[in-house]
Amino acid sequence: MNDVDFIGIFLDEAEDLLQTWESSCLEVEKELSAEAINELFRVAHNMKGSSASVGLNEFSSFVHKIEDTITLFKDDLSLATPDRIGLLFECLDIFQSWISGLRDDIEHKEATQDILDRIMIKPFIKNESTASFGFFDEPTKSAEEPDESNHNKDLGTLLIESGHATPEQIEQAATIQQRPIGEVLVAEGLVPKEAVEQTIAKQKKQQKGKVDETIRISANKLDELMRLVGELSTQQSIISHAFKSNTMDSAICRKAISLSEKNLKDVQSFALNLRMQPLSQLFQRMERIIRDTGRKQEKLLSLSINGESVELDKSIIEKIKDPLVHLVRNAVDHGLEPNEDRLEIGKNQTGHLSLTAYQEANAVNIVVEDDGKGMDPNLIYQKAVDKGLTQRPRESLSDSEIFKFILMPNFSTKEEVTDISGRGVGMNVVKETVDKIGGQLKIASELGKGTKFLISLPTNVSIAESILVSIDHKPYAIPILELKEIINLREYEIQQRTQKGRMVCIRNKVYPLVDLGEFLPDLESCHIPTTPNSVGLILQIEEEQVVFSIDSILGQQSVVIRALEGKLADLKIFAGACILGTGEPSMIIDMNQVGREYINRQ
Amino acid sequence: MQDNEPVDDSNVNKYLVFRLDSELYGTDLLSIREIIEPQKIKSVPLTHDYFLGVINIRGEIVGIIDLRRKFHIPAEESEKSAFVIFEIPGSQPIAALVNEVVSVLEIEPNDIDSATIESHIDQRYISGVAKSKLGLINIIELKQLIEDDEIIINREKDQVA
Repeated sequence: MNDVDFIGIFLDEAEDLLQTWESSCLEVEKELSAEAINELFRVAHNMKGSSASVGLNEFSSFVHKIEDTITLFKDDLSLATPDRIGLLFECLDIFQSWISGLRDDIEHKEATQDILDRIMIKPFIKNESTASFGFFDEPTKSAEEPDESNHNKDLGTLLIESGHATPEQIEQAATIQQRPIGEVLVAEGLVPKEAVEQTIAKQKKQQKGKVDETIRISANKLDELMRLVGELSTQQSIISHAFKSNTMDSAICRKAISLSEKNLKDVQSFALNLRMQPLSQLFQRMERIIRDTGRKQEKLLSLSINGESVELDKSIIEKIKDPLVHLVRNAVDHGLEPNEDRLEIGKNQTGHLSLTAYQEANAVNIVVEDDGKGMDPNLIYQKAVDKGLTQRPRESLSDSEIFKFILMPNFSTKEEVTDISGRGVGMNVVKETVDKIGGQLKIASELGKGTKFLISLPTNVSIAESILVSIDHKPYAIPILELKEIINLREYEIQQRTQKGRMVCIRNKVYPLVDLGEFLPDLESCHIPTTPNSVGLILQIEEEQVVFSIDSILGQQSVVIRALEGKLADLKIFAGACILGTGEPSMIIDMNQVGREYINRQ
Repeated sequence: MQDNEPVDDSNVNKYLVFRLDSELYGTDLLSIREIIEPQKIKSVPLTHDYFLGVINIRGEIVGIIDLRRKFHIPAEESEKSAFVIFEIPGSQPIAALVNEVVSVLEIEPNDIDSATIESHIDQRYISGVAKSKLGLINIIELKQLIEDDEIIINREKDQVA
């Protein structure tokens, strides 16, 4: 293990600790208790120790100072004023950005002076001693024995006190001191420049490795996985023995084959399970953001969170974070009315927000709901017309169709731009991100009552129940979940409307009919839409339903999606590739992308 | 790679010599991961014609290009062929179809003549011609060529037509 590995371990640990920090801060804010303060102290103390042990001295020294402040809170709870608790939240932000910075560059640093100036409690600043040298004495010593630490004043403080230097001068000197040690050494003529450069090059080489992402997994899960793999290898050896001794048809061998199939399925679902994480961390972060936004806007609010134990694939959780942040901020900023307005219209002065997650058969839904002013469809429609986004008459659009306009690029109804939200780029980014993960975004709103955003997400990304289809005599896989319905086109009447537009009438409803092969042009064998297409796939594209025709369905299989890497990754129409039962590779068509391209062609 | 790890000297200056049609080509042996028997290729739409598609190498999905088409060498379908798999650092490996893998030769840098050659291959990727017991060998930077290569058709450009 090298330094980078150790720092990686520390960073994982620190992330866990910061979770605790965050929840304790939220708790302290609700109700000041000695336990919560103790918890904060414990987190700071652990983080200080472990960061110092991996050589992150500046981080450690910063934590040390924060820890000192918390120590004072411990002794006297009255010191923990709401303002100071607010500062603990700010510390959290610094810790978090510091830690994420360290993942990319183990030399990463954050500016801490400003927060330290504000968080250090006055009588304490004088006693603040050796921390700036990255030296540690007993964690609580400087707090408990202030007299002793008085002897350890740093040089700057001493110079100021003795009148040899002004605080400004010291500040300036400190800035100079922050230059890289190499530069100082060269400038002082202590070390030849070449030697420093060589060493720096060497140092960079050693540090090049980025810190790997890790997931925490319970040891029980791993044991179970090991057991399954062990069984599998037993069955495999039975089968290979049978193969060698030509007794493949024996009962024991057949049993081993069927058992191994079952075990393999278990291993597969187990392996997928390893990536599943509860939403609690994500929701905790949202709670924090809602709190901060509410404060900034001076809006009273209450929050209810449900379903934080629902699990999602880790990669999806990471991707959904930013869109969710945007939605909750919007809910507080635009959704909830100012306190006085709420009173005036007879609502409870305290706005209510709810963040809910629940599991459905193949999807996890996350709902952000507020009881604020809601959205006015007429206002949005007018704005959409002004911006040239639609020419359709108001009557032909349903409210939910109108709400979709806010998801379009550059649409913003709020005139003034606040520092929290309202730059008019947000909602379309939310939609894009949700689309990219293969999820869906739904909006419901009632004027005066509130707004509800529902994000529906696939539970995992790596296995998809798919139909195998043939298009231009080539097999492709299409995830079933993306389809609304599969129909036999021969049973329905197809009408040629214009030279290219065909329509099909299904149960008295007319749908546009499009050849799916048109989206997959192949240079070698140009797509010929002459085949009497027999199967239609009904796809929901925004408010519209469109039928895509294909040659035939070859079968059904749950496929393991392998992401396309490198240059092939730019082929957006494919969600990935998979390997069919025959051992042949096949591309997986992303029907959502087909839908988007269909819209673009209109 | 050479400067921080002890490298097995025996592979330096070694070239994989392969045949396309009747010409011999050589490329740096160290960039090659493995050579496999031809297998079924699944074609991928929206790609250039020399990009044959993807193959399944022990569960890994790897793209394959046809060097004959890439170099505009008339291809005879009946020709025997082999797949050469290139390791591309930081990305998926890429396979190349060649007619035949001939041998592995050690060629000293001095033996490579850097005279410019009239050919369909971009001059940037040709390091020169080497004389060897097998005859003249075109030394090409195949890995570089594959890495720089555009596989996907730029749809904005092509869709105008």
